[in-house]
Order: sequence, then structure tokens, then C-alpha cells
Amino acid sequence: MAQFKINGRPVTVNVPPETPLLWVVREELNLLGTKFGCGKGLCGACTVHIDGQPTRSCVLPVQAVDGRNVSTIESLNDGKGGLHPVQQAWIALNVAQCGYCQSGQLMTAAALVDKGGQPTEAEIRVAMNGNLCRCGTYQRVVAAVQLAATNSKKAPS
Amino acid sequence: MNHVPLTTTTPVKQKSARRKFLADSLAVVGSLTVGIHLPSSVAANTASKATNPNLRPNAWVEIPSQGKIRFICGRTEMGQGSSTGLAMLLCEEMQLALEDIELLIAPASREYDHTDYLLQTTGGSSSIRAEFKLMLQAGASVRELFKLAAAQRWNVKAQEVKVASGVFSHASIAQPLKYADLVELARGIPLPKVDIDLKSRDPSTWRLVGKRVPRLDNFIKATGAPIYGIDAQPAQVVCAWVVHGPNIQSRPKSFNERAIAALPGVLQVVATSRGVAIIAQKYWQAKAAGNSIKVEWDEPTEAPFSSSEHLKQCLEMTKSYKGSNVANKGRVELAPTAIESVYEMPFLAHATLEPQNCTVQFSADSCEVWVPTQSPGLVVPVVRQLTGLAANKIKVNCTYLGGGFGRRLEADFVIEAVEIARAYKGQQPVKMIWDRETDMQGGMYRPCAVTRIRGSYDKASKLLHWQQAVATPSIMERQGPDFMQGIAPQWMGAGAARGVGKIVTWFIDNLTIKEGIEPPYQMAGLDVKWQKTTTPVSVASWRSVGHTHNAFFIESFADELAHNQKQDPMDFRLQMLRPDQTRLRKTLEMVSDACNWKAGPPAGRFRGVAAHESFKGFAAMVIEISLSPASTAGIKIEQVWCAIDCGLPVNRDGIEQQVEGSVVFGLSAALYGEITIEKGAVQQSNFHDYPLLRSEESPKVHSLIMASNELPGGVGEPAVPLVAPALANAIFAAKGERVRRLPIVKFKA
Repeated sequence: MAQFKINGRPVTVNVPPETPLLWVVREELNLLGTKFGCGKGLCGACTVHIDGQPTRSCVLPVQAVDGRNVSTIESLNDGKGGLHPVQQAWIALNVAQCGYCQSGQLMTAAALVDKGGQPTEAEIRVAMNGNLCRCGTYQRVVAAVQLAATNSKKAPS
Repeated sequence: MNHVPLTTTTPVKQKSARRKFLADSLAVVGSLTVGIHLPSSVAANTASKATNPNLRPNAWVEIPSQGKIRFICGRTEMGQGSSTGLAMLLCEEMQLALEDIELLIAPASREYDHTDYLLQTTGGSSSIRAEFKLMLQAGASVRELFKLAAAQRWNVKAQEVKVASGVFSHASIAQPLKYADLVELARGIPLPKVDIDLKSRDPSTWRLVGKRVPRLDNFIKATGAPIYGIDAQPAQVVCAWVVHGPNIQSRPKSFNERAIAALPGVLQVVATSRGVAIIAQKYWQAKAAGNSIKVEWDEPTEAPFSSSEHLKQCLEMTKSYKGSNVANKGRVELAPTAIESVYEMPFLAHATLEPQNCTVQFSADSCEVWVPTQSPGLVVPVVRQLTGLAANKIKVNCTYLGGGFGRRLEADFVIEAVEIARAYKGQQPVKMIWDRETDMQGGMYRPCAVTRIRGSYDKASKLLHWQQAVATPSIMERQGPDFMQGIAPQWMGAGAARGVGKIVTWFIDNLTIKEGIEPPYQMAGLDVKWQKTTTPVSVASWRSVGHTHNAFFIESFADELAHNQKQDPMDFRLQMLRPDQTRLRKTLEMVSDACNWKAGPPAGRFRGVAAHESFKGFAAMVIEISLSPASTAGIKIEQVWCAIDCGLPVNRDGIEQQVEGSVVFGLSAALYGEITIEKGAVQQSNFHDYPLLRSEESPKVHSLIMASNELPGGVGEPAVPLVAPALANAIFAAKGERVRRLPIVKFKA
């Protein structure tokens, strides 16, 4: 049993405490945007935010998020159809190819952009280094994060 | 990626396939039926109209009387972007904007058989180049159909009806009409046949073709929409976790069924032909139960396979320069100064980021499948063979793919999922998901290959003498019979189809090594022989297939010859290219200009070059590196220039995406990629021991697209084979040491 907030909504899940958060999100909460890639925290496809921090959900026991805020790709827009600046930039620059890693890429990127400021290419690559992309979209990911950072500074807060 | 036995199809056959498509469309619309999806549904027009109020003038287009026009894409979308490219062609002729249509992925149906390959499959960088004219025709004929409908409605001449931005108008009519407004009228009119004359088309008249457009799948992929096989959630779905044996040839003998069946959530434990599956309510329950499974395995009696021993044998086999003929020209007369080199490439896994998975609902009289596949046309006969059901009782829903690269041309994982569903006593659909480890160790690898080349430059004739022997297994020998099952008509049955596949394969078995084996350079004598090896490891098409071997061999050895002649590698290539290699020459010149090769790299940087044609795409690449002793490979990839001539560029941004991705894909393989098998067991299991390139290691890629009005060629694969040789040549420029064995991190130059 674990109690936490998923995308702002309180939930109680009745699963063994060691169950990986990824499968709780996918199978108990029916949020399918978070992906299974490696099961060992190596590829980043399963990245979610725990209290705003990008975290690998495939190796995180659900008991570790008890009482905390978990956010998934499904919460990245504002709930009214408005997309997060990283999502807008992703679309504007045609980042995704197969797209399977992109939920994870977007969650890592959103955490970086939400910090504010204008990260350098090197800083972006360090931040994004844990997210594998088999299609090789890294160049566009960097450009999209830069664009999103620029655009989110322009947006009224 | 697909080298099914069918790339030899003559233009005549292509033409007749297109004719057949139009004839079918005509027949169907002519008889006033709407759905041509299943032959059995053609019967009653009234019934199909009642159930489907939309008009489906051909297999690719569905027009509802309200809402967006649907493009039903018969090719798999695995990231390569051809669904957007094909939609552009359709919209080009239907006078629509891309925003006017909705993209749907077609289910398995023979109406989507590939024009050249004759079964529904996606590979060989062929979606745009094979269906280019077909899609234009499909769009143009629907446009003309609706012109006729508008003319009928307004009682005017069809030639006077104008169409722009999806709106039909006439000088005498105040109120123009959209496609949706004309559905009912169009339903009664036979689909007109429209010829597409590409030769006389003024390239400036293309409205969408050649532009940069947003991908149709951008939004769903930026918002985490559940579009992949792993996301399939038919009602009441249950899940299966699978364990395979420690050895590639292990087969399950017995397992602790009772203990596992008693664990929480577990519904049933079943044996498959290659392992054991735990079926549970939830995947996490099945996976957790997997921690307690104990399986006794049947092991093969012969000595277990070793890839390192196999490579040593390959090395020996090439020493005699004997084997079956692959390429021959003139007479090889090696000079005493001839040089000889041996190159070695390992097995590779595709490592699609979405692990193999498949969902199957099986009952006594029907079977429904949800699967991320490149080959829907292979899934149907496989299910048919395993279940004994007729094809019209099998429904295959195709999802988006979390990567394909040739791995999902295969149906091995479909077979296991069907075996599980067949053994399951419950009624619910079963979703089988392979763990990363099961996926990585599941076979279907790019074959290993060893080649030995000796050659010399004849100063008098300015020609090369080139003798080569290649030792590698045949992909086609394994793949051919499988694919023939998908091509053959149902009445033939699986056994006979596989038999035909074996015979066909026997004749064209060397295709996978033959493609791209002939160097593009001027030869006085060329002699290439093949020693076909056998391994118990299943080998498969891996992005660019045999070209990944051949480009590495040829472009590395060409570089060695250039240095041996103390010539600049770029100049040497340009001088030695055959006169008929004009397109390859131009890409080399383009890439040379773009990086300013003549001026040379900045201090501390080193460059290598390679050029190669594959899948009707001509590409040349320069890789610039610096030395970086602290990094794993000892080098840093600084930047890459790649020029590609893929004929008429359809979606420029899509082409650039593919070039950028190909560089990263090729670098992962060249630097790190290796599957080794010792004592019969695959030694790699996940991304810690089968690393992929990460963001920090990825270079800046400059993509250069050649302007062209030739028919479209391949895009998704042609850049991949260049990466390893261009990188190896850059390392030689930096260190004077020649990389002849891959991956680079293991055999540091």
C-alpha cells in the first residue's frame, strides 16, 4: 500500500511496497505515456518527476514515493490543452522519430527548463545524458531545449 | 532493411501491381461498395454503407461526411517518417494541406502489399521510393472522382471544376463545396483512372513535395499518447512475462509450475517453444513471480557456439580467396607491392527501445492481435499456421513502433505470444512483453563478417586490382522461407510456401552480401568470393543490412590504397570513381565543399571520408574527430558532414532527421556495438554492456541534400554504412593506426 499524489490527484495503490513505480503508473493508474525500456535505470524512457525532480521510475519502489508528488508526461500540459514549452519546441523542431524515448526526454527537459535560465549546449547535454534515443534525435533535443528555454522566459508568468 | 527475395521485381511487375490496385479500386467503387478492407465485406453495399457512412474510394483514403479526411497508411511508422512523406504525396494530389488529414496505421490486409516485395512489409528504405507514383495516383484519382461529383451536383463540365485547398468551386457557383459535402454523390461514381506523368512535370509545380513539413505524429509523440504495441489495452487484458534459457539453443524441459501458480496475481504458467511464460493479471505480478521460477533446460548435444571461435574460423576460411562468385570483372593481376588487409565485424543487436511485445486474444474461431511489426503480411500466415484459423478469422491491429531497424520484420516474438495465448485457459487477451534482457539475448542479429582483401594500384593503366573473400552467414537463407509464407496465397499452405521460399532463396541467396559489394572504383580486375558460414544464431536484417559490412570493407581498403599511394583520400576517390558513378561523385564533391576538405581541418582535428550507394540513395560522409585520451574510445567525434542524393527530396526535414539519426546509429555500432556468444550464451544483456551513444558523445551533424528530379531513392538507411569507415579513416588520419576490427572501444587502434 502506498499513498501519493499522481499529477496532483491523491491516490492509494494496493501493491507490494517493492513494486516499481513504473508499473504502478502504467498498470494501476493506467497512465501509459511513461515507457518501459530497460528496467535497470539505464535508458531513461521511464522518467517521471518526483517533487519536480526527474527520476527513473523503473527502479524506484513505490514505497519511496509515499506522501510525495509524482508527475508524468500526461501532466506536462496545463490541463487545459496548453502545451508545456518543451512540448511546443519538440513539435516546432520535429524532434521525435519513433518517439518511444520522448516521454522520458521531455520530462528530463521540462525539469531543466522549469529551473529557468538559458542552459548552454554543454549543460543541456549533461542534463540529458541519461536519456537514450535509439533513433539518434540528440541534436534536435538540444535545439528544442534551447528554444523552450528562450520561449518560457518570454511567456508571462 | 528488408532483403526479402523480391527486390528483383521487374518494372513490368511493378506496373501490373499498380494496375491491379487501380483495377481493384475501380471494381469496388464501380459496384457501389464502400469498404474494400476485407474481401468478404464487399458483398452488400447497403449493409456496409449502414455500418460505415464514410467513403473509402481506395485502400488509403477514407472520407467521412464530417471531420478530417483519413489517411490509412499501409506502411509501418517506426520513426523513419514515411507516413508523413506518403501523406504529403496524397495531399499533393488531393489539393489538401497536411493539417486536413488524420493519420491512421493500417491493419494487416493484402490491399497494402508492398509494390515490390508483394507482401505487407516495411523495409529496405523503400516506402517512398516504391509507393511514390502509387500514392500520387491514389490522391489524383480521388480528386478527380470528387470533381466528377461536384460537376454532377452543379450540372457543369468536370473540366471546369476547380479544386484548391480541399475546396471544389466553379465560376458559376457561389457556394463552393468540400470533400465531405460530396461524399454521397461520389459514392455512386466509379473511381476514375488517372495517369501520373512525372517526366513532363515541372518541378516548380510541386506544392508540398520538397518542402519542410511538421511530422503528422509530432503531437501524439510529444504528449505521451498510448500508441505503441506495449500500450495496447484491449478490455480485460492480462500480461505475460517470459524467461528464455541461458543458451541460445536451450529449450524448456520442466519448471516449478505449482509454486509459481500459487503466487499473487498469477493465472497460469505455460511453456513456449523457447521458454516459459508466467501469465498474471498485471505485468508487475508476472515479473515478480519470475524471480521464483526454476526451469530445467534441454541443452543441445553438440558443442556450444562460440562467436570468437567462429570469427577465427572465418579468418581461416578467407585465406584461400576461394568461395562462390559474388563479383567479377577483368583479370586480377596483383603487383608485388599489393597490400592485404583483414577486416572483422561482430554480431549486432537492434536494441529497439521498445522491447519486443505482442498482444493476442485467441478463441476457438478467431484470433485478434495487437503488434508493433514491420511485417503485418508475415503476422497473418504465422498466426494462421499456429492456430489453424482461416485468414479472414485473424485480425491484426498494427501499432506505432518504438523502433524497428529490421528487428520487427521478424515474427519470432509473435509466435511466442500466440503460443502463450493458445495455451492460456482464460478468455482474456494476453500481452506478452519481453524484458530488455530477453530482447537483447533473443537472437536475430546483424551477422558477423570477416573479409580479406588484397589489392594494388596499377600506375600504367591507373586502374585497381582487387581480390576479396568474405566469410559471413546468409540472412536470406533464414529469412526467405519465412517471408514466402507472407507472399504465397493462402491455399498454398505454410509448408509449401516455406518450400518455395527455400528454392527461391537458393537462387538469390547471396543478395544480402552482393548488394554494395562491388567497389564504385575503376578496376582492371575484380574478384570477390563468398564463403557462406553457418551459425546456430538467427541472423536478420539490421538497418542497411549487408551494406554495413560492404561499405566498411570497401571504403576502409580504398583509404588504405590511397595512403599507400601517398594520395589524399578524397582526391584518390574522385580520381578512381568509375565514370558511371556521377551521382556518388557529386555527393563526394558536395561534402568536400561543405567541410572545406581542401583547406584541411583545424589544428588538433582529423578527418576521414567515405562514400557508398545503398537502397537507391547515394551518400558521402566526412567525420571530424579529435583525440581525447580520457574518453572510452580515446577520441571525440566533433562533427559530421553527410551529403545525400536520394532523388527528388519529398520531405526535406524528414531526410535531415534520418541523416542525423543514421550518424548516431552508425556511431553506436562502430564505437561500442558487439554481441558475443560464448559457451552458447549471449554475453550482453542490457545497455550497460551493449551501450548506445549518448547525448554528450553525439556530434554536430550537417545534412546536405542534393537537388534532384530523379525518382525518389532510399533515405532511412543510406547514411548508416558510411559511419564506420569514415570514422576508421579519421582515426587513421589522427594516429596513423588502421581500425580493421569493430567495435573500436574493444580493438583500439
